[in-house]
Amino acid sequence: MTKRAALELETLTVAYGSACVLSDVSLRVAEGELVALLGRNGAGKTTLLRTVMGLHKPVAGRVLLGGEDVTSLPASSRASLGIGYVPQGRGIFPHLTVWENLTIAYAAVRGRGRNPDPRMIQFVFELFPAIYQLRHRKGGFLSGGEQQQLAIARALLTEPKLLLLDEPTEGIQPSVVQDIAQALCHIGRTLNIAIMLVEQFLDFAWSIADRFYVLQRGRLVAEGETEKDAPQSVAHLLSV
Amino acid sequence: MSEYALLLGQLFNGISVASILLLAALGLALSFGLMGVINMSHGEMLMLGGYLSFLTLRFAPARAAFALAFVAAFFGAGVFGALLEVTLIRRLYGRPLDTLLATWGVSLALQQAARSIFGPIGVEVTAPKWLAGSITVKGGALGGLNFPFVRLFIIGLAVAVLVVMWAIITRTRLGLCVRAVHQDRDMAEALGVRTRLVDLVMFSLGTAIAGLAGAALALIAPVTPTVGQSYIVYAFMVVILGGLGRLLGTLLAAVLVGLFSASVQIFTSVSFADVLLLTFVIAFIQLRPRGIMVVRTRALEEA
Ligand SMILES: Nc1ncnc2c1ncn2[C@@H]1O[C@H](COP(=O)(O)OP(=O)(O)OP(=O)(O)O)[C@@H](O)[C@H]1O
Ligand SMILES: [Mg+2]
Repeated sequence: MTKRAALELETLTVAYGSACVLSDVSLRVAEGELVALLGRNGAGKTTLLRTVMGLHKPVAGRVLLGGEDVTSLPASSRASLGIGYVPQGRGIFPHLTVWENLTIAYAAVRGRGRNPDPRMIQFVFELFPAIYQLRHRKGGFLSGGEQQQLAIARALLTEPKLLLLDEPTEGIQPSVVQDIAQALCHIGRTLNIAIMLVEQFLDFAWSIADRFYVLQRGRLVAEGETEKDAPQSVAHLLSV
Repeated sequence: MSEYALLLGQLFNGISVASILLLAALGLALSFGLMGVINMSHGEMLMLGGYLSFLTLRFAPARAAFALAFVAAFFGAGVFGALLEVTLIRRLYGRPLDTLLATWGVSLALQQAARSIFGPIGVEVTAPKWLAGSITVKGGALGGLNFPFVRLFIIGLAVAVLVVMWAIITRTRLGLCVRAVHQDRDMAEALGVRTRLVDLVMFSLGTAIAGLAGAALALIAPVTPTVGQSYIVYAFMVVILGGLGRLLGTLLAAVLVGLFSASVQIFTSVSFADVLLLTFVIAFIQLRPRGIMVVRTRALEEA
């Protein structure tokens, strides 16, 4: 049984000026699936996520969301079609309060209510109780781990069908990494959200992902299932 | 008239000039703060507002004309700004030097157009009768001190615009989007904020407010093809002093520049006052490179 695709990339090529950063990347993330994207520093992982989000225009290839071609749509339209994005560096608005950070998507998208669905809010605050305590604080005053939680909470509140996470464990203490891992598993399972996760730590990736792709200098060089393939099988592609 | 009265009178004039500067500078500060765009034709939005107000007062029925003049100046300049954004500024996004040159070209073209239509000599707008009077202090230490209604009206207008702008930015959905775009454009876009639309609305609002400034200015000085040029330099100083994109900073800077030039003019000539003002701005920027208002960061807060 094959599930419907939440995201498909077809022979995607992305360049900065004349430097080709991604070439000929094709991949697929099914609904409710958690896929890890692995690769060394500079392999093009962030660029891939930004291109899916619509913050970069590809030179060639297509991006399909739930079967619909969104290659020519701006990021804001893709956001309202159901992509949640947690960028590397978290992207918290420093001078907006935590609450404003959480609800900005509702202020922005026409046709949505002014406030998030109360059930969704409850779900998110149960997941990240610390964020609720901090809701009146300015985003810039939060600690790194709190900002990471806020970024994930914010992406969830947009009720995405596809969640893009760029190194959510970067610079975070192990116990919080555990929390985030649990949260991600929980989210994927209960809300049936497809997740594409960029990750440096193999153990973390293997603990939550269903499948993985490995990028090397802008090309996909390996893919597999975390249940069948051991982390060691790709380690040589990731070590420096 | 005592010396105090003279001084206070001059300060009052300074504040009314500051009000016009504030209206002129708001749009500049907005478009630079939000989009990194320096619009060299911003001064001509004052001119446009001035002429639109002149035309309205000339041709509209007498009773409604005065209010209509401001409406026409606001919307006329706003629509022009929107057209400018869509046809030019949006296309030169991320190319600040080209934007500078192109808008400078627009500025020259608009001045020439005004010269051809209205002639090189200024046109006068007559304020309605109820604005013609003034409040005069009789007797006492401040005897002879005079507050013309027109200038009080201009100060009131600036305060009203500032309050509305503040409310928009802090209280509305649009304002929340504006603040988000200002802080992190990509992230705002990724959360569904249509950043291009936010740019367009704010740019157009900035030019519309400059149009209001022009209509206000027309009440106290003739409207000439180059009226924008004489104010835009001060407006730029206000923006630089105020810290780019800061509303409160812009307000303080406008008052500072207005009062400074007005009070220095008591002692010296107008052109020497300008020299002193420029020197003051340069010295100030050396001391506080980021303007009067500096946004508090986490590091500062924790210290
Ligand atoms: N704005 C840019 N302009 C030019 N080159 C860029 C730009 N952004 C990224 N690059 C280059 O593209 C390549 C891929 O960058 P990217 O950020 O996608 O890597 P990454 O896999 O996310 O790395 P990391 O693990 O360090 O986050 C790098 O060589 C980088 O130098
Ligand atoms: Mg990266």
